Amino acid sequence: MNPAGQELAAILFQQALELDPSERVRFLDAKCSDPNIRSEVESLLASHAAAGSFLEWPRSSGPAAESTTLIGATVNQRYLIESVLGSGGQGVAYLARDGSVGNRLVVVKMLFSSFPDPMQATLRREVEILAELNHPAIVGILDAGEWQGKPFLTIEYVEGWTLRNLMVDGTARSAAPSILRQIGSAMAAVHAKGIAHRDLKPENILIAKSDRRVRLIDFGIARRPRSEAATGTSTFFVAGTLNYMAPEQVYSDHTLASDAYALGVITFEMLTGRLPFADHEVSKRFQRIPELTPAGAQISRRALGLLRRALSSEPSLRPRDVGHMCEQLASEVESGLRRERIRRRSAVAALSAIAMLAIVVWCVWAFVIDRSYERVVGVQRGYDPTKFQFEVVNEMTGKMVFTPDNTGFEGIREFTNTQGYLVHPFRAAQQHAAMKKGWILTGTVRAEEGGTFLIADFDRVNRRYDIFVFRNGHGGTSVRLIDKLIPALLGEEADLGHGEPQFREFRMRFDPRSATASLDVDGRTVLSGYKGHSEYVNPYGLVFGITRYLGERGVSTFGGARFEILP
Amino acid sequence: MPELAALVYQQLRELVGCRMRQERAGHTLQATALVHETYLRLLEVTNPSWKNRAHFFGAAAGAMRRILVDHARAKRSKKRNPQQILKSDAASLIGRDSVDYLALDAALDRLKSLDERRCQVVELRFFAGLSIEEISQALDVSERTVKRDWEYARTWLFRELSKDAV
Repeated sequence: MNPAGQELAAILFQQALELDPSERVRFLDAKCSDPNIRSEVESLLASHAAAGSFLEWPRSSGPAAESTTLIGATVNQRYLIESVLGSGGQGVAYLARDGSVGNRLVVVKMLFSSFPDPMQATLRREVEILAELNHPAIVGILDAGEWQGKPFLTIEYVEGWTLRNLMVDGTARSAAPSILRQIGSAMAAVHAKGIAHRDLKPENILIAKSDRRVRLIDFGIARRPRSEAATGTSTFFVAGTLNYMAPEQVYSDHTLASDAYALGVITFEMLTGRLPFADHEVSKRFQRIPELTPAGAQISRRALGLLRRALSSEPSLRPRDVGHMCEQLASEVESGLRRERIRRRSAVAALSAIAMLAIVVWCVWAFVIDRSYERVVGVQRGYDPTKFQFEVVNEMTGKMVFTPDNTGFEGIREFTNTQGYLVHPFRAAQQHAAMKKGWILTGTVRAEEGGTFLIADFDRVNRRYDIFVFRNGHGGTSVRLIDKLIPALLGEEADLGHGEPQFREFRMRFDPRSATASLDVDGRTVLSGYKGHSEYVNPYGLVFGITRYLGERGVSTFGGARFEILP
Repeated sequence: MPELAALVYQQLRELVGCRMRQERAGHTLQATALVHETYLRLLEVTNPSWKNRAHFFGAAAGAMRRILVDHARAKRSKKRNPQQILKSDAASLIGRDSVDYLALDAALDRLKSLDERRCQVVELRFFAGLSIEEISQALDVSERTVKRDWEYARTWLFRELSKDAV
């Protein structure tokens, strides 16, 4: 066959492969008249079926398909698999209901079946290690066994966030002392048994929603440094965790000191929001006492000294007692945060004056964060959500944070087919302060088509308050306070009159004594006794956006939005 | 950039050799980790002139292929010469010792003469352990194209190797 025929066969094969097998014959009948090419395509299709997972890596071949097939299955006649929580290099963690204990939620971990037998031992070892460790900050093992020839492990389900989530939403720094103490205490217990975790990273540190307690998870590759030959199991390094890996881990054995290194990286990241070594600073990774530049972040000299030692390329120079190291870091960070708080309190007066100025100067986003978490959190003016184009200035720095080409916004933007919105996240402390002291959410909106929403969403207290303004189909505008999102946007409603859309000021005030909110439109109270709801508490923060509710599209102009915590 | 390829090869071989000396039987290391670590090491050597990740991965994939094939060849000659005992070989190091690397190497050369890009996809995917997304960035083609190329090349190579076996 000539090269052109070969290429045509290749293309037809690739297209046929994406079809359902039953449709392939009809496809080839229609597309392929040359019998030589047809026979080549058929030969390829047959080879593809025979090839199985030839050349595929275990973690890329099975997982996607395998991880979903168990949904709905009952493992060991007890755990009803509900969904996939996550999958790593070796296996899947499922969320399941434990039929034997009041249908409580648990996590069931299983390895991909594509892994050979010796590797199944990693899960057995995790079982052994977890059974041996009994610590409040280490995830508790509930059950282990074998199902359909595969070992599984059941651990407690912790509803909450990973440390990575906290890093992303900016709350990791203030929570650092408490987190460090808990991890330190847990790791000291782990090391006391002569076990190294070997895979410490923000994704493996959970913070419970209920009591803020830390749980270390994923002891899948944890082991005693000198017992490897005896257990005869395999090591899998996943490229993504290189950032937390001590230099010696790639070249030689992992020691307990490698965990100290990982804790150093994690602490640095909690405090500064970035990794200690950038990609192009690899040479620093190999310094005995590396230079660290915590740009912009306040880290005391003593804490920095500790971190430099923890990040030494030489394992013997790192602090040996990780519990003590974490305790020292925690108290250093704590006193640092206390000093910052005092400094900021004196800046509050100055900041309020700037906030007043922002109202005078039109078209300014005053991203004022009062570090004592009282008062103004955000102000937004001159916003056209249909285009998502803004001119936004960070009032603290005077710099443009949201440019017309949509870069640099200090928040989150989300788009779907039906809606688009901006989220300015609330910090945990802001949320608690707001619900305790009361708050006011103000927005000036001209709802032209579809719906416009203005939301204060507090995930930490599981409460969300939605102002939904929309064209009501009778040529008028209505506002609804949402208390149900599913199956429809339901809630108490007020008619705002007929006529062309116009700018109206919406002002919701939450009273902590009655735990209800009332809504004023243009200075007149139209709805009250609003309790909010707790559906879809994500994304959280000050949310404003549009949806093509009851129409083809959503068009709206925001004159400004502002969230304020009452003094 | 031939010097770059040589440098990558040398570094990667050193790393694989170093791992092999330390490893005990049954240990495996992902090719991805080896390649990423080589990248870090090379950044250290060539810093800061080198920024092209895509170029690096191409070179690293080629180097991994050479290392694995060289080791397979050495293993074959070792069978004829039993005095020379290797503790483990590169293929089992990355957990892929069921593949006939010599036959695969020859088949890949034939594939390359038919279609160079599909051969590159195999090198990046199989030897460097890159994800579809990473390959799409490295070769500057869509993910869908990478997926299609990968399925085709994998099938084609499997058929070639089955022919060899018969």
